[in-house]
Amino acid sequence: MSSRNQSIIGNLDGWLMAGYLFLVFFGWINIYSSSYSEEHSSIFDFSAEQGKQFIWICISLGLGFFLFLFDTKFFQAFSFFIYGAVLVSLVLVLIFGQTVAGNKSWFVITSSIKIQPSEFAKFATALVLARIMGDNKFSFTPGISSGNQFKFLGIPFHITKDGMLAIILVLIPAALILMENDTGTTLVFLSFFLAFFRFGLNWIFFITGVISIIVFFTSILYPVGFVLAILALLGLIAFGSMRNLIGGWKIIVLLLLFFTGLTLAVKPIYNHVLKEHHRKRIMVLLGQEKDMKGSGWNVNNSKMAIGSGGVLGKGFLKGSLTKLKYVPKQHTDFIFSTVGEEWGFVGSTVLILIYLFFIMRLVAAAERQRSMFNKVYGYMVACIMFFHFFMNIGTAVGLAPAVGIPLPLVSYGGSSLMGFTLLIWVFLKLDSQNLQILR
Amino acid sequence: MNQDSAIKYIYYSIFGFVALAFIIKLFLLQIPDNAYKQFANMYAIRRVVKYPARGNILDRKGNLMVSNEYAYDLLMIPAEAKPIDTLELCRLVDIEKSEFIKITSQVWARIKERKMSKTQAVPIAKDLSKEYFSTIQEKMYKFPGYFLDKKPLRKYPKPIAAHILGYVGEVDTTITNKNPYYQPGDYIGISGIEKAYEEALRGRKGVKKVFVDVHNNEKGSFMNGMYDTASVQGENLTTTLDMELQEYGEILMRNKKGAIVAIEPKTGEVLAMISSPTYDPNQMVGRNKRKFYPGLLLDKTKPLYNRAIMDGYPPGSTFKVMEALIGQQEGVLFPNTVHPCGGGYRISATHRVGCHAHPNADLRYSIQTSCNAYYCAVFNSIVKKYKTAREGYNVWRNYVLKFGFGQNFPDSDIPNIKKGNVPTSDFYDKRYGKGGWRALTIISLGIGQGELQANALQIANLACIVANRGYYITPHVGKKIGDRDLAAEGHFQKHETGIDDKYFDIVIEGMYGAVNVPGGTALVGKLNHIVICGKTGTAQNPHGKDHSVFMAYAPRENPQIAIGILVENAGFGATWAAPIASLMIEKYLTDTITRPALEKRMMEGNLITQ
Ligand SMILES: [Zn+2]
Repeated sequence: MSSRNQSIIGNLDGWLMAGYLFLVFFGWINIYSSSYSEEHSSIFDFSAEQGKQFIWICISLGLGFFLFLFDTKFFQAFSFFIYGAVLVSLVLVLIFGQTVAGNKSWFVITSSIKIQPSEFAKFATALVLARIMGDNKFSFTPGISSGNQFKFLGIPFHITKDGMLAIILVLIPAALILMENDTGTTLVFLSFFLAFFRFGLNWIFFITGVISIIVFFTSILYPVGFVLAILALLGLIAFGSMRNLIGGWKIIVLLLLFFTGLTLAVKPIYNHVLKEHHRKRIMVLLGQEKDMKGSGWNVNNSKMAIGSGGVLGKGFLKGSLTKLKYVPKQHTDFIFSTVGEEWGFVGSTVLILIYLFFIMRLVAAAERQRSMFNKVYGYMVACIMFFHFFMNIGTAVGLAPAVGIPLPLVSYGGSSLMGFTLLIWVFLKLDSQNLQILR
Repeated sequence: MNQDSAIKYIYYSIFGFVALAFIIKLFLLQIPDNAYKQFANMYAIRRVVKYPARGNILDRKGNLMVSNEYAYDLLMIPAEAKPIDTLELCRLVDIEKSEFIKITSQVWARIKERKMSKTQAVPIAKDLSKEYFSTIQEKMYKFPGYFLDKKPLRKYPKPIAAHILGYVGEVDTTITNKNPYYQPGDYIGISGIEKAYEEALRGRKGVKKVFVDVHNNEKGSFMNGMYDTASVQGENLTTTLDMELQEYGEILMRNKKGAIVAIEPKTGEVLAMISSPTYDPNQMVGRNKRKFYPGLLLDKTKPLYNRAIMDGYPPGSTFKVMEALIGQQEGVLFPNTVHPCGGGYRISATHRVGCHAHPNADLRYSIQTSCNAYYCAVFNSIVKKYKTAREGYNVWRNYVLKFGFGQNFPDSDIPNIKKGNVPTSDFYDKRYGKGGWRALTIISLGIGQGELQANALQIANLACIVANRGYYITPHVGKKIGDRDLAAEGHFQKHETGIDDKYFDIVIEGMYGAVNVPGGTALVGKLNHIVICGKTGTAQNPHGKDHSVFMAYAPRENPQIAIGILVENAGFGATWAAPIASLMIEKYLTDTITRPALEKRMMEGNLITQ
């Protein structure tokens, strides 16, 4: 027993472990700073956010060590079960859940303990994808035998049926979370596609995705006829010069049909399916409107707070705008504004670099995995972390649209911390046993 | 495999590119001396509480009784306060330099102990009038970190009705602990109408967050007013009081100790509530309060005390009216019942209740002439009707409670009414031992003396019951909040006494006689053109001259006003209480005074310095 424990500790990636602990601790003291008030002046005040976060950190560390007791095979064997359980809880939360800040995504246990199943859906999805993509026979790209090729209306796609299954496994929880009105977490599921790229998903899917987004926004701003004309032009170019690259005229026609349908559907969706606040957010994002009450204001104030930090920042607990609770949600989605104000350019840059290092280390660790299951899972974790990092800090400094997702390990929130602890520590566990896998 | 793992560099590039973009953006936000940076250095955000003006208080005819006037507080923000010419500032706001130093050093001590924040504004001088404001305002630039804050204060166009209107003052910690609406420094109705209608009158304060520059000038609202709450104006309160009658009563009661309560019988609306000596309500406002309050508090005549609703006096012979009603209802007293009076009522071989000389009385005449012996006998017969004294006494006591004595009208809007005292049978058990007392032991209750205690409000209410022939509406002072009619909303209940209508005829006849028939005890109050029904009383005072008591209502048909009055150390009820009540009634019903000599004598009478 003791020799086994020693081997576990010995193979634990110290850098990732240190990164995890640093981010959690740094997050905690910034939560303390952003929630600090005369009435709640202790970092261990359990009626305030800082105290609650401390409890969550303890629970998460406990959870982490608990995970180390499992054999790696457990996660592989139970991946479908965990995925299914999370899907069930996502459905249940739609029925029995409560709405907090506009998202019907919470199970309320007591007034101070709420659980957000969508935070665990990322973990479950990563696990199930690792399970099917970790199979030796799995491939996104159809082989020469092409018996596995996905076909639609008889047209062969650049993807296997297995690949299609992987995409569907991402889309199901994403759709459920979208129904909870939680756009931010739904978008996080795009990070799986980023990881798919590593495992051979054809670049045409990325191109299609990017064009779809462009079509969506331009159709809102410009007349439908204009967009269709541009699409027709692009179609002609593709037909003339890239037919073989794309995979034959049938694919081009199909893509054109798809984009035409999308173009025609955008206006009705925009006007009838989307809600007023969605429309407003889109308009703000497109620079058509200045939203000075909603997310636009938050971003503006966040930039103000960060800007006021200067080179070295105002110092821990000394951020005047932080104290004034100037930036809304500054302990959750806008925690970075507190970092910017109190730790300045130097501190913020250090945090960004440590974050960058942590994510790159995840990728490096994923690459060294002998098991495909581990490797896929590692990439998923890295990409999810990156997507959060990109959207969260991007929002705080005004480079990304405000979708409202936490900065993993740093932002306040028990579900989020537990969710990321699960994600990361399961990978730490997998990685620690990597060398035991025989090639 | 090699090509595959090379893909990781694409990932590294993407991650690195994003991190670099963030760092460049951070650099642009944080390093150059741009608007974002200046913003935080130039401006502070101040939480400004907007206090709505308290609602006005009007009399029943819509005359203004209480309104508002603006005053100013000098506040300091410790974080922004710079060294200043302290002496000049103190002179401007009229405070001692030592006081200024005391206040500011306390503030700094609290900040050091982390009990308050440096950005929290603290008052240095309060309630500066408009005159101060104009001179200070132009010099404020000399005092960075200090600013003036405007707030409404109470103003009383006429210096009357101080007790019933009550006053407004700063909340103390017992209030702030109980009710989160109130913050230290907030104002609240402390007594009287101001207390009873606090929520309607105060409105709701608003909180506004504003940017201020280094000179404390407001530079626009914070976050477009997202976190602001609008203040809601306090509502005007129309009272049931009649300002003219109130003022007239206060003039009549000058230099006398006592109280008058006038009520409209059919509605229970209090027309006037006078407690004398009184004070100018303007003395309890702002800086005046500091000047006058200690003196008022120490004054031996207790001007702050609302005598109209206090515990204090035995009701005296006015009680006999009720006694007559209870006796009839209990079937032990009839209009033709005669009880002999040989100048008194014999309790035992050695003790008797004295009476004045008059012919033997029937019921009507007993009221008119206020025979003590008669009512001792009535009380005795009520109690004796039952097997034990205890049982009989409890029956009697229940009636008395139903008449409003010994209770404080829980559904009334007049705060702090005292119950007075109608002792329980347990009390007498304790005093005399179980079964150790009889009707005769406590016979003085029959004539409104003994342990009984009542106030002018309860005596006026007794007059209402007679005027209404059997019921009263809870006495109250609120008529309308804004346009809402309080009585129509059912705030004030009708209370039946359980005395049948028919028993009132003979009692009213007696009260008529007391004021209008020669030989009546209150003939001095007689008016030629208005029929007043009344009853005198004398409240025994073991500490000095007896108190003069009187109750009345008028006119006899369709009564419009009922009055209870107590004048301390004024002797027999007819000498002071009855004439003053009569003048009040005449003033209210006709608005003219036909007896200037009587009026002059009453106004000039001085019963305090004697
Ligand atoms: Zn007699």
